[in-house]
Amino acid sequence: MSLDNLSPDCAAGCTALGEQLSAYLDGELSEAERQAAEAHLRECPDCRALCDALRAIRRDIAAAELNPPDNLHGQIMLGVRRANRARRLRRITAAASAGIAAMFCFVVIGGAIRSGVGGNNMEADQFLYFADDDAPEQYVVLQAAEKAMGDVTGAVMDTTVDGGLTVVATGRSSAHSPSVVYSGTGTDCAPAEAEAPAIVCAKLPASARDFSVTSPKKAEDAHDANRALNAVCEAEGARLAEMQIGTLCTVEIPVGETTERLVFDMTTGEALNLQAFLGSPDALSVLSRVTGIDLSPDTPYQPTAEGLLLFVADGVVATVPWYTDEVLSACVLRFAMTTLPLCLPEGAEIQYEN
Amino acid sequence: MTLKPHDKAVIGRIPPAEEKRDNPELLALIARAAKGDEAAFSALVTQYEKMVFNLAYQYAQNREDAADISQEVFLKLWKTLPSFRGDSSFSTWVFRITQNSALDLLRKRSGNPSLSLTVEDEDGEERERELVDTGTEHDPAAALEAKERRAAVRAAIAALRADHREILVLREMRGFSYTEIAEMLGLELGTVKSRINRARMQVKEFLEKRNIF
Repeated sequence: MSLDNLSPDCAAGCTALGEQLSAYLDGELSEAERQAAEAHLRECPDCRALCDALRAIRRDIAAAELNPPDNLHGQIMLGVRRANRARRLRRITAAASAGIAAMFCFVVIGGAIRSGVGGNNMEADQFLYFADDDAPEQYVVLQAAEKAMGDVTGAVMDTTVDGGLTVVATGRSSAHSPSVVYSGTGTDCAPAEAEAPAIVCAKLPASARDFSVTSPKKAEDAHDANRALNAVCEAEGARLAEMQIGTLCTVEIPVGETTERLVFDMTTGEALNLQAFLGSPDALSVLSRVTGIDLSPDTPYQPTAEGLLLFVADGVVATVPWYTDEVLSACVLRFAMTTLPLCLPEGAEIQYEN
Repeated sequence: MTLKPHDKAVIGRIPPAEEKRDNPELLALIARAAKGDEAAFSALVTQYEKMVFNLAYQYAQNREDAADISQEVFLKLWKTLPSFRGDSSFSTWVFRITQNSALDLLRKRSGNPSLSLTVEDEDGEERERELVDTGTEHDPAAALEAKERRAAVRAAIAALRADHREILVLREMRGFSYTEIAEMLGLELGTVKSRINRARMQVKEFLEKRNIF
């Protein structure tokens, strides 16, 4: 809209300024444009009236800004602290685990495996289950675990609904040791008198092909499935954030009224398969959205344990952390299931083909 | 469409030619927060929570969802902060995360990921979504109290298209410049200008229809 041809004799309902009026009110015109606009406003009562009306409306819209709820800040920081704990704990366990050891035997019943604590012919590995919601003490507890178990080869962590924290750690078997529960505060950390937790780690035979897991338990064991996923992904050096059930592996867990279906692909036994994700049509749009960078099909990438490095134009490196929910929910993670432990809730069944 | 794997890990960055968009204090805060400094992040939350909440509210149209989206946004922000390299302004970074999170939530709720909540009339032309009025036009001749005017303005905003609501939050409530808004929304300056003007004019027409001047 040019201001060159403004006439001081405007007809009623003058729209000469048009969107320049808004820009004028926002102080977004150049000096020359501003002076031209003001000159017109001096002469044109219609535009002055419109100017006043818009000014009032701008004030009212600004006044319509909402205050966030008082507890929002606190809730946000609570979530941040939980995530912080998770990150720190994973760093410890990644350093602790030098590899995954073959760990368990279990009862085979006609091609199905039933897990349970203390079942016949079942050698449950020693594992720890402890609850602690103060970050520094987790270090202490985990160190105690390492000391007791000789080697912590994996740990998973989960936040509970009430803000607490549960951790399951797996380690090399100490024969004849019962499951140990550690809890404590500060530097005083000792085994506690507690009943054995309902998590057992199991391993499928090497000949197993496709598998699925069903659990008879209900929604409260959604956390157990989280632990299962966490354990498996931990072993692969991938990192996970708040886990969404229903995005990643072939575990079918009834959750309330629905059945959540989780997908593992274990037919090839490959490690984290980026090709499957990056080759998918969605990959570019997902990654572009997550990074806020326009990626092209020619964008080179380099996967690391931390995440995905993307090399965009002019030598800029963008990183996409694995714990971005969007990336994870689009990835299909492949694991060598025959060499990794799988944490199952009590009473879960694995069906596998031999 | 596939991404091409890169043989060598080339780590490096050429700084952008133009000036840094954000002031040094903010960048220092971001750097500390990116290293895990929760107090620094808390300061960022204080600075940005009104923006995030109001944007979220305009997408979701209710406070509960807006609060959920806001928590999601700041958690994502916390996790992705180390990836922020200053290629865009920090406000743009926050804005995009907010928009994405809102879209995610709306998609989960209704299965419709579109931000553009326009309707088409018989001619196929898009027009503003009509708000069912709750009765402020029973006495149009009476002078309205400021309170009623504010309620009418809120109703007017709610009746706008999503992209108009979005841009008014950024411009009127948060005071971002046209240039900043252009970067956030990925639009040309001219489009920003016309959209802001159009949004305001829509509000004006809504109010006039209800005899509020």
